Amino acid sequence: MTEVDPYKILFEQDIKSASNIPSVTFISNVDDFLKDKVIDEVFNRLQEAHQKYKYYESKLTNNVSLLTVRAKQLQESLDIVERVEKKKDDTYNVQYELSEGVYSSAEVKEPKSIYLWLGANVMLEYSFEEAGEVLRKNKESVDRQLKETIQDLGFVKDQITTTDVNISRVYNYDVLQKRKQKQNKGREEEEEEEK
Amino acid sequence: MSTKNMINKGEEIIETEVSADDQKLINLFGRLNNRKHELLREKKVKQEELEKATDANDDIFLVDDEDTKFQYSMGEAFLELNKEETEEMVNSYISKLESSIEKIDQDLQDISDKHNELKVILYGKFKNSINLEE
Repeated sequence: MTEVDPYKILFEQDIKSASNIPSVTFISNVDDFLKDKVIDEVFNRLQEAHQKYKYYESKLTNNVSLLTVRAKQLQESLDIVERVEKKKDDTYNVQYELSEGVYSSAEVKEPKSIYLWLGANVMLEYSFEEAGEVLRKNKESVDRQLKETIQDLGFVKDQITTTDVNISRVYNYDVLQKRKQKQNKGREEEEEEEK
Repeated sequence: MSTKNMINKGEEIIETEVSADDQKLINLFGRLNNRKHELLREKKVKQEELEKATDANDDIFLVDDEDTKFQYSMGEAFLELNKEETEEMVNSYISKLESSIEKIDQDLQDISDKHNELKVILYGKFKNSINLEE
């Protein structure tokens, strides 16, 4: 099984949302865009969008770290299953945790099977092959979710950047417009004076 | 840490239209920038782990008694292993860490290459009306 790097997607020029998160509209022409719009309203809308995506971003970042931890734990479990299987003809001691910080010793004698905690207070006995299979399957699903979340996070980051740029462009446009008005006014006044 | 078009309050505002393609490049820059900082954090953690593992390896080496049993932490339990087995486990852990650090370095290099490429294009077009923070 070859490991696919879930972060590779971030190098792509165009990134799409894996779970249909709406995208922001890129302003192709500020002049056209601002026609028949009140500038303060435009600003408010852009800020709102910015906040919304920031919220998405923190949510997704959180999910990525949760899933990364989950994948790591599953890999650890897989390693343990593999290790115990390797030692299935041996007898050896294991220290296991009874309660927080309290350990007891147990002798493992030629283990034939292994138990997986499935959740909801259920534990099931598995052969080593089956246990590995179950864990691998779980890990595959976590890896897939992780990959999608990373993709979504990349997408959301793009939306934030686009919104940032939109805000600066509208802002710059506004400043420029006001400056032009001022200049025109100044010129008019000069002309007045000349008369 | 974000990539942003600087809001120019200053005297000069250069009117350069941002095209949809430019926007994509800016997005790519920002996205990779985020990843870069993540990778740097990850690298630091891995390096610390590696240091600990190397220390452990040295300590195991110092144990003279070949019959000493080691408690190898696995999940929530400890596995009792002899010296040889423990060394094998620690060494494989170390090489795993080393290769993942190598991978991080490679990724960082890739990002830096891409960043330089994008900087040439974007600074070339927008001059100092864009600020590509890292």
